[in-house]
Amino acid sequence: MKTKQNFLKGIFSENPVFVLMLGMCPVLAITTSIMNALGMGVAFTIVLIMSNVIISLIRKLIPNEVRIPAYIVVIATLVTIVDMLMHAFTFSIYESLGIFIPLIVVNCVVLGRAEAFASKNNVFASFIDALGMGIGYTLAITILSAIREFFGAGTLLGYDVTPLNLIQPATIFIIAPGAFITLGLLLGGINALKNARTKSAEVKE
Amino acid sequence: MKKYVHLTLVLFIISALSGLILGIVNNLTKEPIAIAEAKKLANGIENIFPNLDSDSLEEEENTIILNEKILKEYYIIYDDKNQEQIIGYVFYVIAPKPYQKLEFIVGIDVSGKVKGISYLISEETPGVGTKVNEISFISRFLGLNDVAEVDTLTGATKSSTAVKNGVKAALDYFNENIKELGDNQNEN
Amino acid sequence: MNFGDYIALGLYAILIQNVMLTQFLGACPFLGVSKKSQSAIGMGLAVIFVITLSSIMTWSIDHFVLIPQELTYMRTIVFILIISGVVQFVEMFIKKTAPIIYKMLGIYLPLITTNCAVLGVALINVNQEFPFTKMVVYSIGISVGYALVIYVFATIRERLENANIPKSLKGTPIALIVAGIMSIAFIGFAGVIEI
Repeated sequence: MKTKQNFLKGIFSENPVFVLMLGMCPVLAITTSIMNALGMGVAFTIVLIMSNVIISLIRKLIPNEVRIPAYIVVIATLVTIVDMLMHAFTFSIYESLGIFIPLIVVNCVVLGRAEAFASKNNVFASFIDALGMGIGYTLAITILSAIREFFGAGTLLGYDVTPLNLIQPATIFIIAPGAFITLGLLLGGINALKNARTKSAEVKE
Repeated sequence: MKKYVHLTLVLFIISALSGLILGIVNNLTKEPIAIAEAKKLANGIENIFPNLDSDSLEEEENTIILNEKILKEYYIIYDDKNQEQIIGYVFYVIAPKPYQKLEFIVGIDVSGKVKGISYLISEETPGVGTKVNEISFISRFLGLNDVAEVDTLTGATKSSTAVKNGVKAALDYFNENIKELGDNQNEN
Repeated sequence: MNFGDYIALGLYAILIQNVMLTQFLGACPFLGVSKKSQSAIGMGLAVIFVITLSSIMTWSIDHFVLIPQELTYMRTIVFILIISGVVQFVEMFIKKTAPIIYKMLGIYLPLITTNCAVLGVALINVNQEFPFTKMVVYSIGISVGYALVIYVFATIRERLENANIPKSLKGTPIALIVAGIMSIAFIGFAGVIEI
């Protein structure tokens, strides 16, 4: 039961994007297409899982005073490895994500989980925590990118989904302002749902 | 004092390990990365001359380094493996833009008309410079042998001018050096 | 390049390539430290300080150590260590020499290590292969652009506190929409300066 909660909190109650509002740079920048979002999500999840597991493994060996620099070195190494692997084997995604792959180093979520969770818990719990957080993050950016790609380019995963030309693509969703406005409205929508839920719960009581 | 030695030692070991791991991974991925980068050029060429079979692409290592600022090199495109029939040329253009990288290839067919343009590196102002990536801008050049009348883009004047100048340089080089050569060969 | 070109490059970095509104670097502090205009000024100044210093450091290390030794694959890890070092150093330095400034910036400095804009600008500088002077002008321009936007954003948010908006949009959602509208305004600068 505890493991299940540990896993699910990253997706719902402590979703890094929708609830904690951490690691926002890639959320805004690379959500122009679902493919980019998935690539970023997978890269992010791999780094997060590896860093949580490694830091949990060595947590007792690292003196408290130098733990932050040590974590940064571990995370930066992992990010560089992922960066090189993506450069070699998934070239087109690597090109479109560009600078945002190395920037996973300074993604607050990774360092945040290392400090808040992996440094205090055992390997298995840290793994589950990272998996949940990674999936939560990937889910959030995929939803956002699906909305932006659909309205901005009229496609989903690159396939044209408006054969009758019912929707004229609005480029603003793809360019910078669209990122802010779409995410703002999405968060507003989630808040509205939450508010409605608490209201109905109150009425029941 | 002992404590500081301990702290430094731990950090040193972690850094040394990560340096070692990175070195190994770098050695392992060096070759695939080079292959992937080379493939980008091959894909670009394939966009311009779509009917090539992948075998004939390997044969076009006829690169000549041009010691000019804009044109880096060009490739001769044959229609088959035997290198008999030339169907066109591909010029590698490095746009002399002062602050941003812009590299692309221009395909020119044997009659001296622009066959296609394909971008290799373009780090433009997001949302604005990316206009030059749009197909509508590239299509303005297709089939032309003189780019003087191509309109540049409002709001991305410099980037689109850079593309225009690159295409012009390629056409000029073609007209001055290659076309005559081909004509002479035909006469012989 | 003459003096006018540097001015143009600086303005270009501030307005057209605005690091927050068009390149999305440094979003966390942008949303987190922009509730009060006073704290936005502190954050903005600290960012100018750190980006300029760390860009010069990272560029120099890259140019004189990493490229000659063919160690460019170590960029990310070396840069992030340099940046956290610079942040520590700046913190100690202004604590000793200018306690008043420290009082103003002190709490924002540790946050800057994880500000994507710092590492982002360092990486852009080397990816674009800028020469030294251009790199300095560009880095200053980018960081001034960040400070400008975070301050303007904070003043708008202060006013929004008392505005009558739907309950669900209060807080971050409306802030993001405001940032979107600001971003539209900044797109209007495109083409004004061409470099």
